Formats: sequence, structure tokens, C-alpha cells
Amino acid sequence: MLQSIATKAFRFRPVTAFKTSTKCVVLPGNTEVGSLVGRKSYSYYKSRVEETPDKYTGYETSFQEWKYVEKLIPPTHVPEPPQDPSTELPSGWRLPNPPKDCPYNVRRTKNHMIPAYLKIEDRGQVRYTYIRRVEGNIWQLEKDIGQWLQDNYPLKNIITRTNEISRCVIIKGDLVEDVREWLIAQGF
Amino acid sequence: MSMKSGSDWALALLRTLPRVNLGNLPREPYPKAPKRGHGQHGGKLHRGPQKGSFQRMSYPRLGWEPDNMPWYVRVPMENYYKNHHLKRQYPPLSLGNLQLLIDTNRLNVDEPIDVTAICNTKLFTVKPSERHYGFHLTADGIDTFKAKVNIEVQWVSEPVIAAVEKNGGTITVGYYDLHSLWAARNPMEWFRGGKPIPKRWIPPEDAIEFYTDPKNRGYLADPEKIAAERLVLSQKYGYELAKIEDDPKRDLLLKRKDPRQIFYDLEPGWVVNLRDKCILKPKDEALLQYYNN
Repeated sequence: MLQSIATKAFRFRPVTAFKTSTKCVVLPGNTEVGSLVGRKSYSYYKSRVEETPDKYTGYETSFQEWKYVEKLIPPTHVPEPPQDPSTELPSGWRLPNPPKDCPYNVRRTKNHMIPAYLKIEDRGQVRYTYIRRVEGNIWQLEKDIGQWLQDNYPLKNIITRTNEISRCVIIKGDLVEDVREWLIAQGF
Repeated sequence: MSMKSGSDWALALLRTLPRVNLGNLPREPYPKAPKRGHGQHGGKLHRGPQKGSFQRMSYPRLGWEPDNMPWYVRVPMENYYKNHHLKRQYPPLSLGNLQLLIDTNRLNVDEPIDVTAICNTKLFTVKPSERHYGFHLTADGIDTFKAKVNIEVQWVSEPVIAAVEKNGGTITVGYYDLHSLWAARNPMEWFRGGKPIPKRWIPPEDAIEFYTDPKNRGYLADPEKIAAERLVLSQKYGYELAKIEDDPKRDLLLKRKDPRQIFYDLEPGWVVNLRDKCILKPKDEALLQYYNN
């Protein structure tokens, strides 16, 4: 609607539109394109967007159905997950309950998920598993998880390394699902 | 026979004259063009111009097309990706991810789940600009799916339908055209623009069979046939079909959208005023006729 009125105003702009006076220039009404009375044609952005009310169709206002619109509003915050650590959920998600005497900790993300990711490098030829958000003794975590993976995959050469600046433990290969399973089993 | 007039004499003469045939036709009045000979009879230019390949009879080989690769040398074309940019895309949403969304309170099981609810999690979305026509509910994580939901997706396979109905839920497969999907994926942005809720169009010709098939739980299928197919599928996969009629969540599980409807309980043509928290309904006859058809 706004665009169509804009083109109309541009097309039928008279010579008086170029006057620099601050007075409101009243254009002659054009019966073909609709009434443009009251439009400041020399300043498009200050001009009225709406036309006269007889150009619009009628409507009725209703407040009854607003409750259905409220269901469509997305949450502004990440929803709180279930707070009972004993409940076993079908998806395998569990509330973090880290052991007390563990020298390291892996914190959940803001979405309450395990921070284990797959990173694909060299055009898909090399795959790394990243464990982020590690706190405490990062080398102990590297040793523990490397040992567990080596026991699970005896024929595989498990290569691990750490980046203590970015607090990452990096394992060569796509082992994200195993790492996630181990971290959840440990209580992180 | 008595000859009475000159015309009778002329006709009698005609009867005695020989018939016209190739042998008694006169020669043409003009002489024939001299024939250009070959070899010893002359015509050293070989019926061609005085230059070039035609005089020397070095004609191009058979099948030669100037400016074109010959058809027998051309690489055969296989249009494997032909019109791939026009095909409908359905980004996947696995049953495992759906269960995780429900477990972490991203999705409310007490409300019907549709494309708007999934997009409002802000973890999954569809891009109509890339010709995404909605979600494809895939079978990944089918063994751990335990939720009882009323879900509406845009593409589905048979084991997924069985997994949802085994838990006592219901599933509908509905089609959204791209214009209404823009409204469905982010309704707040749509309402903020002051645009009326659009009406859903019926599926295109090549998709209407899928969305009217009761085996796919299509939204245009006959509900009685869908009920029959639910029983057939439960017997095929060997589970006991839950009775929706006796379920306490009966109203939730049987809640369906109109084929023209995008949002539950909101009709096409309405304009949502977010500032005054009200809804503007059109009264014009032409608008009502357009949105109700």
C-alpha cells in the first residue's frame, strides 16, 4: 500500500512541489488516482501514509482470540530442563550431577547439552572430536577418556591431545557419540 | 443422321481425330538449356563455383554441422540434476531429536506440535527461500521414542507413523505453500508487518496424491479411511492400537487444522495487532469470499 501510494505521488508530482516554502502545499485532488489532499509532496518522508478512510474496507476488533496468539510467541529464554536428577528420560538426557572428588569438570552449554562436537577438517578427510568447557585437571580427563576409548576400540589407535588455553580435549576420529555417552555416565 | 449445322460437322470431325497423348504433343517452343557436362563432356567446375571445396570436390564429411560438435562425438547428456532447484525440499527432523526437544521442555506435549512450534524452539527452522516446504520426520532414534503427541509434519515415512501411533499419539501430514510457510515459521515477524494471515493453498499436482492418501495420514484424506489405516498399520507392525475415543487427551489428539488454516484457532484474513493485543477481522464481502474459499 505504502509503495503504491509512493509511486502515485511521484508520478503526479506538480511543479509546485519544488517550492522551498515551509507551508504545506495542497495538491489538487486527482479523481483517477485517489485523493492526495493534505500530502506534503515536497517531502515524501513527512507525507501521510494513509489515505482517506473511505478508501478502506471495514473491520471489527476482537479481543477474544488474543489467547491463541500468545501460544505463538516464542520463549525469550532457554526453558528450564527437568530438575529431578533421578528421572530417566527416553532421550538419554540427564541433569548434570558431577562427582565430588573428581579433579576435572565439564560444564554444560547454555542449552543444557554436553559440549562435545565434531570438527571436520581438510575437506572431510580428517575428523576430530572436541570436548570443550573443561575445568580443572585437563590432562587427567584426557588420560581417562583416552583409556576408556582404547578399551572400547582395541584395534583403533586413539590419539588425544589437549589445548589448555582454550580448555579443549581433542580426540582424533569421529567419537562424539561415545564421548557423550561417557560424559553422561560420569555425571557431567 | 442428318447434318444440320456447322457444330454438328465439327463434332463429327472430332470423333475421327486421334486422341491427345505424349506421342503427338508438339515440341516446346523454346530451346532446352545446354547441359553442363562431366569429365570429357566439359564442366570442369563440377557444377560448383569457381573456387573452394565445391570446385575441388573436397566436400565436408557426412554428418558435418558447421559450428557444432558432430552428434557422434558429443558427450551424452544425463540430466541428473535437471530442475533440482525447482524440487521441494524437506529438511529432516529425527524422532530422537523430537524426543530430546520434549524432554528438555522445548516442546509442550499438551499442545499440538506443528511447524510453528518446532521453529519457535529456535533450534530447528525451515528456509522457504531455499525451497524448504516443511519438516521431514525421519526414523532416526525410533527405538527410544516414547512421547504421546499430536504432531503435524510435512513429510513422513511408514515406520515413523507406526512409532507415533504406537505411543497413542496422532500424526498428520500437511502441505504448506511457500508463502504461508513464511508466516508459519516466524508468526511474530509476520504480525509485526501488519500483514493478514494468508490462506494455505492446496498442494500442487505432483504432491496432491501424497497428501490425500490415508496411508500417509494426509490432511486431505477421509478421516474414516485414516481410522481404518491406523488399524491396518497396527496389525502390520504388531502393536495394540490405543483408543483415542477413551483417552483423557482426546480433544488434544483430535485437534486438526482446516486445510486453509495456518495457525490453530486463527483464521486466514485476520490481522493481529500486537500493540493493542487484539485481532482485526475483515468485514468486506470480497475479502470474506476470498479467504473462506
